[in-house]
Amino acid sequence: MKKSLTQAVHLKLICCSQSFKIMRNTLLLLLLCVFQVFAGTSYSQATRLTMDLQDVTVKEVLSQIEENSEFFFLYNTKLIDVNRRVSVKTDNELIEPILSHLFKEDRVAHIIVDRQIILSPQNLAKHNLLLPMIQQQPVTGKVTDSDGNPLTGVNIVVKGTVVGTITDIDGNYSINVPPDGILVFSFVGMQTKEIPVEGRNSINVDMEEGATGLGEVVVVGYGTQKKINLTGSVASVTEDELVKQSVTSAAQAIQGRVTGVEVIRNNGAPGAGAVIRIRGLGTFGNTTPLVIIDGIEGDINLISPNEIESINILKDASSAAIYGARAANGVILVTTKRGQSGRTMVQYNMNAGFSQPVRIPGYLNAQEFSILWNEALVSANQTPFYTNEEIAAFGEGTDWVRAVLQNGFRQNHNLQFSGGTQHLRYALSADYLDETGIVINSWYKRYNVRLNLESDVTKWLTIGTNNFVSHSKQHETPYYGYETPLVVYALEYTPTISPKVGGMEGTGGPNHNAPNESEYWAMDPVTYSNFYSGNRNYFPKYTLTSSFFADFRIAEGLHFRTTLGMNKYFANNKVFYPSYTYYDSLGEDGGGSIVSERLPQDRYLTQTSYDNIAYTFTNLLTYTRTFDEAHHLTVLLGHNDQKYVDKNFTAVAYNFPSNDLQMLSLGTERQNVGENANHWALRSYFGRLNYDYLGRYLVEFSVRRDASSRFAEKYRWGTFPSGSVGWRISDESFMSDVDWIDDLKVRASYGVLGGQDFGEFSWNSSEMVRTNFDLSAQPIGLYEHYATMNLGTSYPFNHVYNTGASVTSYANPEIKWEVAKITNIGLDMTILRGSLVVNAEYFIKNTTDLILPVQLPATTGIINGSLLGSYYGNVGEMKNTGFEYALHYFKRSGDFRFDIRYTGTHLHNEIVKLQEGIDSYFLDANYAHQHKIGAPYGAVSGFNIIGVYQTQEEVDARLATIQERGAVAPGDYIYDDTNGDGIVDGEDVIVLGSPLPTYIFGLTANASYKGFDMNIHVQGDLGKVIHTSTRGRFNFSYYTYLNNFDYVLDRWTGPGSTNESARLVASSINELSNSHPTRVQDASYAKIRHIELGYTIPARFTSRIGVQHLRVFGNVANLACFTNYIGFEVEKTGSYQRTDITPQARTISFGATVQF
Amino acid sequence: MKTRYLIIISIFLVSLISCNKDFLECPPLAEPASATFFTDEASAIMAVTGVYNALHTFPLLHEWEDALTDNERWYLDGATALYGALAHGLETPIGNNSYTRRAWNHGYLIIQRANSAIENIEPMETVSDNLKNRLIAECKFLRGWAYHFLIWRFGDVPLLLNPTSEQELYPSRSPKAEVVQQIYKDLAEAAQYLPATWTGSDIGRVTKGAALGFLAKEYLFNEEWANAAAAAKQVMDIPEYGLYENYLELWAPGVNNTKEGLFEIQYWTPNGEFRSTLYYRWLRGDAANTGASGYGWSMVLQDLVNAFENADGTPFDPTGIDLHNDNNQYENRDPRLKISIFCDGMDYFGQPYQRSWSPTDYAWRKYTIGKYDPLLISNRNAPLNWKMLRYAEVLLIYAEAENEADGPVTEVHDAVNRVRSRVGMPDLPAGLSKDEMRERIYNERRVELCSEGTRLEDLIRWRKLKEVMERKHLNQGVNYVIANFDEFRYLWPIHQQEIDVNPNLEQNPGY
Repeated sequence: MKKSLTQAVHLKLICCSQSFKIMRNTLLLLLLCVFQVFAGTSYSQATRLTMDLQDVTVKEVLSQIEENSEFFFLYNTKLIDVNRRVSVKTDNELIEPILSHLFKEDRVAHIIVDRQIILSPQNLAKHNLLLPMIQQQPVTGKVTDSDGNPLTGVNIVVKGTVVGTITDIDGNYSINVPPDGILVFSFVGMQTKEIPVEGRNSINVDMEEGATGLGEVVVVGYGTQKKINLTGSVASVTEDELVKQSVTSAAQAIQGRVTGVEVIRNNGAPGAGAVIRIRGLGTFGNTTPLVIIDGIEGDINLISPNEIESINILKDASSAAIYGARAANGVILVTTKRGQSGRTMVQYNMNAGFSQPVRIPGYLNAQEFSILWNEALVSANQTPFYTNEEIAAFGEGTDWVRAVLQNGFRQNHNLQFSGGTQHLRYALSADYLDETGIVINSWYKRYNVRLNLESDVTKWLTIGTNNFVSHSKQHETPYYGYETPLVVYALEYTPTISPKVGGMEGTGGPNHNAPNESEYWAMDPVTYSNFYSGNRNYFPKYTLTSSFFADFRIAEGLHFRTTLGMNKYFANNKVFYPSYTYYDSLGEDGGGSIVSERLPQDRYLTQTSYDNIAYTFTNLLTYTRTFDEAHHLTVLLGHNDQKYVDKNFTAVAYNFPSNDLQMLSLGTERQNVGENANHWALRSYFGRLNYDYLGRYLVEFSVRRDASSRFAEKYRWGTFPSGSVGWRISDESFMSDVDWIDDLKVRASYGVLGGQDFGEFSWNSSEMVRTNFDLSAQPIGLYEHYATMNLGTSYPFNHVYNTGASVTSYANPEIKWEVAKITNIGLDMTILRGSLVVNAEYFIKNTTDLILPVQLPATTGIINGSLLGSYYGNVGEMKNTGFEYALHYFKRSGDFRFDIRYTGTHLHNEIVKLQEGIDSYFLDANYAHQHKIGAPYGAVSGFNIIGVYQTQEEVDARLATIQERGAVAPGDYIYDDTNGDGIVDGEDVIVLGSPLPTYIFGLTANASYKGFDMNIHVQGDLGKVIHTSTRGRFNFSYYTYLNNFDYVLDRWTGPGSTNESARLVASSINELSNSHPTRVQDASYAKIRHIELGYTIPARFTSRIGVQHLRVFGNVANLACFTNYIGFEVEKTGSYQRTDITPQARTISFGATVQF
Repeated sequence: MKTRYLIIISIFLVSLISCNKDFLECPPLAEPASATFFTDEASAIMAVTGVYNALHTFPLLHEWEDALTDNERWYLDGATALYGALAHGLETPIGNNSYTRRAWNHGYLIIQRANSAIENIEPMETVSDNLKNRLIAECKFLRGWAYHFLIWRFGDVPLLLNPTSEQELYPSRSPKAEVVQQIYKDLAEAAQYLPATWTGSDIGRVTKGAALGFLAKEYLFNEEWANAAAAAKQVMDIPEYGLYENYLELWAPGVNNTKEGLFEIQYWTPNGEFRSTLYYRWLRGDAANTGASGYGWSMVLQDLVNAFENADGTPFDPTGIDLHNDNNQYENRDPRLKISIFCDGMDYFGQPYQRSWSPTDYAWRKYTIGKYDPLLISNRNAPLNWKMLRYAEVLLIYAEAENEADGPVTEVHDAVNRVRSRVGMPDLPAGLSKDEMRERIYNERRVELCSEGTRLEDLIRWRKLKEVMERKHLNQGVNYVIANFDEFRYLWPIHQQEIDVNPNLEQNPGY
């Protein structure tokens, strides 16, 4: 109540007084002079002056007084005529009568505050607002945070007045307060403090991190809102949390920080992006949340955590509905740093460190491998490949995995300038990341520059621009295109082969020890990687985001804001394939034979340019008003247009004159070009209404209408309404006796969101690979309502290429919006004097009309290779439910401060409906994943192994009742005949687990003592299984010759040896398909993501060298991973992938933050 | 103040006006819409080219099918080949056996592309009648061929002659007899408008000989002997067709679209845009490695080797010969043996072929023009067309039909002897009975057309598949035993996925 009164007075001041400008200057002067006042009140009473001055200016008089006393004057020469000539003669007089006399005829009032004397025109001085100040005493002090760091910009107000100030850059403040006044200290993210002055003139304040951060403001769709007034589900990650991490992208930085958000780093190589899922998977199409960076859609993987002020994640329908059409996967709002008037800040952050693998699982050495390979051959009645003499001579052989590993190195430098004058604010940030991976020839470099500018052109118009330029290059050398990470290739490469000496034409490497044809041919991983890492331009990518906005203050509380933005992406991928000759063991000189080569005439070059652009045009009208100091109303109306145009251009040429001439135009043969392009558009109108009564009863409604070009005209428009309510129980009078509850709010929301990003990827395995790495992969369903002619159906006549044209897809003009209905119930509670904050939420998300490939009978002629063809239709239904909670506890004892935060999320995902008549279908040619009604999305599937045949009797006994898959022998797996039809066959494949975690957790603890601080972050996903084709190859005849992890040493070797793992046999008997259960693994894990120790060097030392703030720190990222998974990296998406992935690195780094 | 409102209102209005309705119209940029595509002759021709392209979608189809007979074994112990999978108990809707599904899909891909082209081209006014008739004839040939392919594997199949509309999304099966009539009709109509040969940039298109030849084949399969003989005779009477003189050369690179090749699937271009998969049957040739990486996926069985007569025209008798070790067995045989099959000791591109290279002792020589070579493989461009119908087969169709219709008359002898004499084999002995002649023709088809994917259909129509499959394991290198080949297996199962999607389709009995 009192607060709103203050605001009212304040507002009155701003708009009514014609002499506002003058008064503001005066106030400024007052503040400045108070700044320099010393304690003590009686100087003016004790000091007497004697003067005799004739015909001098007033100015000279005042100077004389200043020279002869400790008094000094403050006045504005525009208001006070100091050039008037006067004569003054005094004898041991007090200052008061001297001044009265001096200005007797001049209507100038004087105000004496200790040694300070303020001169002002009488009409101003009489203003009642100034009177209290005159009678006040000055109070000074310093405001620090719980770590003892000075807090800049803390708002300090004398309670019940408009008098206030803010702390300066050192946290110091000074203000005049009546002796019985109360000072209110408030700061974003801190608990607001009210401190009675009680006659003191020095008050130092420690602000505590906000329990709920009562004053905290969060960014919501097209606006901001006080956190305490939220009725929807919004999670925040603050600047502080972002910076104290050893990560390279914002996507990584939110991992394990907030409830309901799963982040998967699907590739450990430098620069690889992360996958984010908010509240499970709600669609069969694109599950990526919408990421809005300063109002423009952007790439969260590209942005450095250093650049960010806050990340807010909109999870439920009510908070996200304002983004209607594209919000079904949740919305991530990223706000970058911007400048503030009057606070020039220069900050430099750096860190650098080394990285190494977190853990490398054991694998076979040459001797073990050759023995086991022989054993597999003998079991299959084949001749052993290696002789005993050879095996004895092999010893350990070559450790190819270690041969492709190296120590990584990472450095990150970030320089920020921000500040502003009264009418112009700026923030400039430059960020450089250079990372070398733990696998040879893998690296990433990124250069980001961001400039945010804002200017108050007039009192009613603010304009601004946000600009971001990013350039990056990434490199790694997966084997055979993108399918097999180098480290996996190294694992599988034969350890009996020696490393090559010299380069491509060198000697070494007795490939003759290779157990298989393809290994005989294959280059070893080191040579392969080195060879392929040259001759390419490392895929430079450029992103340019620029937006312009203008904000009109039409009237009190009424704003109109228009934003025009664009996001440009350009990339160029150039790869040259030089000629080479690769000899076997003996080498060229030793008479060895060529195992592989590319002839000079077959040199070729491919070059692809990507050129994408996205435009956004947004108009917002916002009205905020408070009625009767109790009813708060905010209304938002908006319009948004978006258009996307993606193009790429590819050129190929063959036959280059040399390996060094790598220009496209020099390839003289088989020149070929191609272009692809698509575009789509979205138009939206939306509105939102927020109302609360005394902050106690909260209501919000929003509605958005969207039209997408992806649908035919009839189904183009979708309407997405939502509503939410909140009740702050703690404000009710009946709660006033409950001491232990500081704040208690319950809230509920319901709303409808839309989806249209179908077909961004397909579950078809080759599509997966393509989409993960190839930016040219376009949404398949983009033109679903158009029947098109595919011009790729060509055929040669008389040995000449003829372009053909065919309908290869089935248009569905009936396709329409996906609909997600989300119910959310939440509770926010702060208890025990702000020391414990509890948030809990439960949600149900039902998504209907899900756009799925509807299988078409092959009789339509629309087929997909050997599989059925499909078109997209609104046929699916999925349900996600979840319970999320966060506990945050603060403890402080003297200089020791501690807080701990735990977030937990239970998730349950279930497919409710698929295409009519279909209960389940497999997603990949290997039957490893299926969509099945009642099971989670992409359920991991396979046979159920119930043991291993130990004896022939056991085999015979089972064969009496069960028709087996072939000639089984002791040592082979016993597959469960799950459907009981007496035959072990593909119909016995069952769901083995969920590829989505059922529980996600994160734990963050911070502690500090004086200048020292420490933090630790633990994060994990539980209840998840994944299918990996890397492990389990020993049981897959096709790949038995590939080396693998040493789990195979525990194979079945005779009756009673084990019931878990089959014998080794070079045949297909223990493999019914790629969905073999030995390839399905528990992928639950917990990782110690981060440990950091920092020390802030006290300002009294650093200020001598002009440094405001200096913190040094050391940290370890990915210290440890706890999991049962056998493989390089457990953290993969649950989707089908051929192989294991490049592991994430453990990085030990040191750094500093310097602020000038 | 007023100015400010004016600015704001005008911005708002401008924003609304500038956002015209077309903003949301985003037709495909990279592909033309089908509704506006058919405008001129070039577009009609492209649509027909698209039908031919469907022949490429499943190249392995043709190469695999000998593996389903007593001619050949597939590299994976038969696990992925239809009847081998059967022996492994894997013949399930989701098992590895995608072969039947591919065959079904492939057939309908050709049919529907043809239907679409016919439907769109027929009403075009910008295309001359001559060209229109010819283009539609090409489509009808391909459609007829595809239906032939389907009915001889699946029996009754949905007969679809128009592109699928929403109403016909889930067709039911039409009686095989009805489909057969449509095949006759399509092929006869095709023959009417197609020329005997093509020149220049049209070489490789369907010819009259192809249409009539397949018409003869379809009559033969349906035991309409007189019609079959008559149709085959029509082909034999066209002077542009005949036997290519050198049987060995027929499989050499560059010997494409000869007077013998009545219809060939075209692959080879200098730039290698198209991908014949014939190299899958080639061996690397210096190590005992076949299979996934060494290639040599199709491995020839002893049973086929035994089918080649002695050079004097008498049947080869394997009794008492150690077939797995003896190299004398390859001497003094029908010359087509060593032209078609690599036997131990033969020259394999500079090295002696060793039977240890293949689990079955043998590899195909037909269509093998070099060693497995990774560079060649990466180009995926074996310079070879796949011969779908040769003049030699038309002669044998004629002989078989005529023998059934009129007995072993001179014309029957002449036709078979023309095939034999090209490779230097003596004429068939005089005085063969009708039954004896039938057996000789059956064997002649087997050896003359081995590896060309014809034997499976022959065994099905002769109802000999059962006895052949039950004996297959007696061959060197065959690791599975089919103890009882049930009669119902003469028809393949429709893939379960197709049945699941289309409620109107009934599965073949037994599956």
